[in-house]
Amino acid sequence: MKRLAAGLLCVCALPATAAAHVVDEYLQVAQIALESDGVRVELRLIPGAQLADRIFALIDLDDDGLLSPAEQQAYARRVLQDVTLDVDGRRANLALADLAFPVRREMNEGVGVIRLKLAAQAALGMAGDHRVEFRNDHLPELGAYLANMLVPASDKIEVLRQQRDPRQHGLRVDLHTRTAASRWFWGAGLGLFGLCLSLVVGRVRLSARTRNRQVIDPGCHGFDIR
Amino acid sequence: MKVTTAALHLCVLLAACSRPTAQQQQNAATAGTTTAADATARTVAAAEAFLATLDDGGRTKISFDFNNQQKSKWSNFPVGVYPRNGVRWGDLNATQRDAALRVLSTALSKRGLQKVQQIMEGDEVLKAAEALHGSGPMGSASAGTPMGGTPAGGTMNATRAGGRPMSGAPMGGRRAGAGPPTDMAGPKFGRDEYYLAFLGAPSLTQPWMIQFGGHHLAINVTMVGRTSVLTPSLPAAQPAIYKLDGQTVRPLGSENDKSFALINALDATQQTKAILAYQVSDLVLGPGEDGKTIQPEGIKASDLTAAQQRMLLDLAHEWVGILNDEAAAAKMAELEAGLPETWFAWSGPTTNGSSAYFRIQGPTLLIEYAPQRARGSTGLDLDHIHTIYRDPTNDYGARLVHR
Repeated sequence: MKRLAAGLLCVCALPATAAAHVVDEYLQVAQIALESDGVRVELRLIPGAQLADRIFALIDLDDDGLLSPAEQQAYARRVLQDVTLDVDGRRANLALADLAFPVRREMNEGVGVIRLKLAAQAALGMAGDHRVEFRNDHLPELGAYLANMLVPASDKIEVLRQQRDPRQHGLRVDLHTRTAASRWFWGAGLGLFGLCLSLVVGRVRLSARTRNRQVIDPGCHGFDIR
Repeated sequence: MKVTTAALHLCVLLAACSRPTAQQQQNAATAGTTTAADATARTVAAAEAFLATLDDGGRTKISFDFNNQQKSKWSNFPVGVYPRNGVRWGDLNATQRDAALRVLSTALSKRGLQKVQQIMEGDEVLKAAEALHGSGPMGSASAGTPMGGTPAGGTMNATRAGGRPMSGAPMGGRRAGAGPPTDMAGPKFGRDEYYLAFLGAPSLTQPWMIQFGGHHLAINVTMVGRTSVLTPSLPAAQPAIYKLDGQTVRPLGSENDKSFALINALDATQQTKAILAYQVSDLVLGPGEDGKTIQPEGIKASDLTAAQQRMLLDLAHEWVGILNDEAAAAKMAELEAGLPETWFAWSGPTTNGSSAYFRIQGPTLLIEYAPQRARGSTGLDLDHIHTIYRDPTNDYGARLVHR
């Protein structure tokens, strides 16, 4: 009883609806994968429970309480209009690769996840420096944003720097791509440099030894032994 | 009555922890100290003893194949919003609960079990708050069983003990917007709403897994021979501070305090590297994000002093040390070896008492600590915290199973 009383005393200090998961924001999570032939973006859009009706109404255009495939496609296109991807300063054509929508009940409870898979072609496999810039401006008055770069699957792509705005609407990534050819080039170059270095060192040592013999060996009588 | 029941459980647990079995005594005499193999043997014995307390229906509910999709079906959300499978804590009788506690107490450390129990007690406080304030956050009232409610009759009611279809199944390819399934009753809170499941049969040699969780808690312990793995696991808390029997309880208090101590131990240059210039509103790799690795950010541990590195490891131990001491020691050695490639990132104010997100990321580690934003406010809520503990190379013991 004492235990319960203590618990309830504490409860009085809790705000109303203390169990609140965030219910009044539209969480929008972007995960970006860099590949040698392009960029893949997975968007997870999770309306808080208080926003479920509002977001559902945006999707359910005919107001029949169901999200038809056509309505899902239409909403995905709307999101796509609010999302941009630039690669090396040029706008990339992000296309919808896959989509999945939750049922109404899941959205009402704040656990419904709209998943959109987007893809754009980009020559990130080309050796050199690249810049990828992603931005999501979908429903900014409601949104809370996360934008993250996945570790590239290819070890040729090295992420150098990431930058975000304070609310994570945008993510800019600077990266460098090494190709097998460039690695061979650098490997061969290093080998050649090593060979030259050893030749120079050998020559210097030989010269030094020769000078020493000229000084020490009186039998040479000052003649150059070369 | 509930106080008595809880006290009885605590006594049984303490007795179980403090009184070694004949086999344990023999092992200790042989080895001079406990080993990882002892921990596995203790846990297997406890799991088999628990299974023996269940009837056929209960054993069916708790048992899954090791590779069953159930493995990844855990969440921070409450039961009723995200249903769990296995046997429900509230449906276990006193004997069964004692046996279940013994499973947890052998798989986890003393502090780990305490943390789990404090998270569950916090949910009980939340349940009382929901009852007091009426409608829940997700539009429906709490529908949990009474506090500490052990069913009369002494046996588990297998028909109520989980086993319901998961509503969080993949969403593609179906017409969205259908009405709710009849088994959904809105969020349920309280210590009764936690579920225990085994994936694979308890074994000294073959892989198997203990899954225990509910609202704000997911404990996944994979055992492969003498090795135990705790990743992925999700210890979270709401409320993050409450009073129980006159004592202040902070399930994740050490995590909070050690993190602030660490960020304030960094000099200005180090803080510039560690502190991210953007808000992080939730876990990046929370439930459902298995198999992903994000690009690390923040300050590298190689840029920390030896003392700061020790603080970082000590902070990580708050998660690693949930697991039994033998397995935790092995994991800490692994983290120490990977320390030069480990990163620490921070987002938010640096004054203890404020809310800040942090992340520790290394070759075999990802820890995130994410206070949640309070409704209607623009700041983060110190009283509602999500955390995640992962190993990108070894979630669910993948590295060991595929060896």
